[in-house]
Amino acid sequence: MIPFYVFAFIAVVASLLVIAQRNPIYSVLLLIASFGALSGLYVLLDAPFVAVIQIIVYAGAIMVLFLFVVMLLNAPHEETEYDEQTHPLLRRGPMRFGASLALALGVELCWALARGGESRAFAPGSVDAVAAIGRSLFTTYAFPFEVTSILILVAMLGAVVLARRGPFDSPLILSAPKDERLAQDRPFDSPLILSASKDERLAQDRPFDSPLILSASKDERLAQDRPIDRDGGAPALPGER
Amino acid sequence: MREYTGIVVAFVLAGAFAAANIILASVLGPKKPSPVKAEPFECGQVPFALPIGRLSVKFYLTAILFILFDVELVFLYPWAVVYRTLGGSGLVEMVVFLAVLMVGFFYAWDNGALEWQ
Repeated sequence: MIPFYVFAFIAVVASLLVIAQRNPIYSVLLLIASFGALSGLYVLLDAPFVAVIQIIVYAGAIMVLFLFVVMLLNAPHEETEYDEQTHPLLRRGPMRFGASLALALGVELCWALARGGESRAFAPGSVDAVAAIGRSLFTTYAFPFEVTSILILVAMLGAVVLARRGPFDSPLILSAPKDERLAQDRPFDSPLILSASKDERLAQDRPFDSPLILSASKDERLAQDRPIDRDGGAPALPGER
Repeated sequence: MREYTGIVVAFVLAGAFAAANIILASVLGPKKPSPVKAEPFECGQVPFALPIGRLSVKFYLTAILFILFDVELVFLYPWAVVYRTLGGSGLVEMVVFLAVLMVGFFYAWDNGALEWQ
């Protein structure tokens, strides 16, 4: 019983500190502590698989994503004047919404605790639960398991394509050496000539404001190249020289 | 609960290592106070917003790739537990699974997603 109270105390205190912090980065780190304590509670409930997943996926991966979102959104410390005056969550509507959510959570907690007493522990000896999951996953559900790898693969490809330098529609030349691929950076509106050879595609670098004439023949399109300061890499603006 | 002793020991050791490093850094680190350093620093206006600025999209790529390989790890864990009872078929399944994921890994590698420019 003592471990339960230790883990529960850590989880509750860490969760309270999450919302008490003014720096969102600290909130995320405290949420990791809360998840770790929750994982301990899962172990006490004889659910080791859930506990391990909690650590690996939530405390590890999801929290990295949270941290990343906090950094990406440039969330300010809550002590800035700007925040106190104009933060959208400090308006009346969102505050009422949050208060009603908190009230609902309180009612749910009271209801759950009032129902308590009927402790439904898992069947004893379910430490083998991981083995049971593994057996069914790799025998009965082997095909869905293999399909999952393709799902993860697609997510990987999507992430790489979304984060790649250059425009979204730049052609993918997997066979080209890396230097040539990196040299492919071109303005977003440059026309896509998938049928052109690699050298011609590389020669297509043109300034941002060049007109898109998709209907023109290839020679005409290539003749449209504006002067580009090859050494500087940037198109020469009129009046700059 | 006996089988969790090792995990608890690992957690305690990890925490002790981190704490020891912090304490050792503060104890052994050089401290050179000088009058200039002791001068009060006059601040300006209350900051309007933090000057963090924009972050590179490379952080996103790294985070997403980490999560995806983490999900892969989730499948490896029950596989490792039942590996002996599965026999050869389990090995083949996991090799196929990992082979598909390695395609993504090499794609990311080949596209320079793992390089920090």
